[in-house]
Amino acid sequence: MASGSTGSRKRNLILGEAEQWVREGIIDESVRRRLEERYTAADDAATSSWRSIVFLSIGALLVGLGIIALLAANWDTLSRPTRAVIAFTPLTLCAGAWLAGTAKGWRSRTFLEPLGIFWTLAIGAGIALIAQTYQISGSADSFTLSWTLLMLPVLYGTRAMAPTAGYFIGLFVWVCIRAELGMNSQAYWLLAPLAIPALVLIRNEAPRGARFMAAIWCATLISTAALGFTLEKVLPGLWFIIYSGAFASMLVGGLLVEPKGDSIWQTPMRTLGAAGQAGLLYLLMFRGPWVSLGLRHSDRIDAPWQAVFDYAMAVAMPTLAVILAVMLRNKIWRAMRSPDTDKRGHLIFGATALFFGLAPVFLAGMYALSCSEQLTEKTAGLITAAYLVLSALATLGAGLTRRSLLLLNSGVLILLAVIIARFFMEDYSFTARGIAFVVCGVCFFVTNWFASRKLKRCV
Amino acid sequence: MNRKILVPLVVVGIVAQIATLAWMLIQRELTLRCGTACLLETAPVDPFDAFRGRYVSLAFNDLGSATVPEEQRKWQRGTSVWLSLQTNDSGVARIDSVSRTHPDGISIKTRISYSNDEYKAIEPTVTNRWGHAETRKTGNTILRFNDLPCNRYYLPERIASQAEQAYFEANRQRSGDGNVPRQNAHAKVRVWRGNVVIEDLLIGGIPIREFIGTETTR
Repeated sequence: MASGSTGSRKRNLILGEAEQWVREGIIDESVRRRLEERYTAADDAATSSWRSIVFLSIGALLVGLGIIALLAANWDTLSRPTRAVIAFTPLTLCAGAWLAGTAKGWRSRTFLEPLGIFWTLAIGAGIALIAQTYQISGSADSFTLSWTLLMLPVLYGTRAMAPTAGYFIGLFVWVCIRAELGMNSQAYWLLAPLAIPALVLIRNEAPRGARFMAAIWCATLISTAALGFTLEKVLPGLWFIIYSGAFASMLVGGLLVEPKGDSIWQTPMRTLGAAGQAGLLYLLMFRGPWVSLGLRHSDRIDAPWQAVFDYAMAVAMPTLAVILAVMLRNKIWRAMRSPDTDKRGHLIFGATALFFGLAPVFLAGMYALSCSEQLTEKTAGLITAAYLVLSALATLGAGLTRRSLLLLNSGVLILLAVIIARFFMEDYSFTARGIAFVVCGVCFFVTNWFASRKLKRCV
Repeated sequence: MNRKILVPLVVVGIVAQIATLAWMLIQRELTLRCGTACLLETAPVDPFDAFRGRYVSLAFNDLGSATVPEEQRKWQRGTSVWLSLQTNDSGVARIDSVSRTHPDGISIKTRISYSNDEYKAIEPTVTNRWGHAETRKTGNTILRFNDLPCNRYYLPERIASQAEQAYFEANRQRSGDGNVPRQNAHAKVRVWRGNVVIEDLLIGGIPIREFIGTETTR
């Protein structure tokens, strides 16, 4: 069964081509009508299947939440043994349903998606009711972690969106609570990879399906946010080398493994990597992040061993980015050797990827110079701005040579953002700033118009 | 990963889910059946947990902190410790000692929330240039325990707000007539092998549900 959006695109492509074939006399009208009936029926089946999944999932969610609310109302009149049986019942029913479905070979998403939601909620309801019955205090972090880890069998059993998202969201909530309590949460990096085999299974079932894409987006976004919470931040400024390395690894890794094409939805790693790297370099154009860096300004922490994670990531992330950049360079080099290839396009695209991919190395050098006070904050900001401008120009060039409106617009946007930011940092009147904004906006529109025309002519 | 590995893996996971819930239940049930009963003097605030219902948040007068005769660096925040309890003639328990290993007798396992060095004023008193008495470290450490494993008492939704009201009034000295004593609130708990389960909440020695019923009738 094709997923909704991919199925519709294929259908429109086939039917569009079929009309052309009729005009050229390759097929006759009756064949075209049979093709139309066949693909419309398949598309309707996919659409109604998605409709069933969504409505059944909403139903399962509402029933599950209702059960939790009813249990939380604290049925004081029931004895402890009765409440214990009630605590186990939803979980046992879900496990039984999964076992029965597996035995009968039920693999449709219409069955597994609602089951995934209900089963996930049943675990939480069971833990909560036993905690309520036996007056178990416990902290929010242990409740969250228990619930999250017990979602793993649901994730592997159903490969549904709810337990997949729930697992990563649960881990992130646990990280946030631990950060609030001033406690370490670096175990996130041991627990998150436990879901990787399940993600591989989901990808094998539908490589470009919505489930896999949603799972990757969820995992990437949450891991990026969790990185900040799990760092001890003992050494001021080390975080931007770590984050730059992470974004560079995502970008270059995405270029190596993700499908080609401009769809942002289909390329989460390189979208997040590129946007994150550009955003980080933009922030580092300002003086603030470069103030008070290095060992002299480090904070005291209770358990020094926790800072080892920071130092390890500061080495590992840039190293990973460099290794991936070398692999990408080799891939581009191989592509350039084949005949009839756009060598200039590959070269410019490769340069763009390396600009963003090697940013952690550049920032590590700037950090070392700033710590040894060989670079003032203002100079560091200026050099970073220059690096970002070069990256933006390379992106613009890559957009023109590869005929990609996305790359072109991204390059122009970064350039304009740098110009506007530098403009704000200096002391100009409102009139001058207003004129500058208007000029930038007009440049943006004009560039886009010319580029769109040029790209259309090339197609 | 093919189905021959996946299905048994998920079955093991299902067993783990049921076993986790069962272990939570068995541990507390054994504590209630085999544990030693004692009273802990409380001071409450009443919040709400969306997943587990209405509860009274309990803080304990004599379990919130303790002083140990060692340096602060040996008692870091988050360290698991055992609080040995000693009951007085009224049956109210207080912290007798704190240790890093499981002691004999009644004890509760918890974690250190905060720790700081103890300072005391120098004898004879010496005043610094800002007018404050000079202090020095005693070599002891003050430990604070904010997350005791018995800091919540869940109540039925219909009586939770009445319980809150009863607590505030019971802990307030009655004005005008100094002869009416303040009614103390206690948590009656069962302690067994470091685990603690709250059996009931008492106001003036009366279980909270009975107390609310009596107050309503009056």
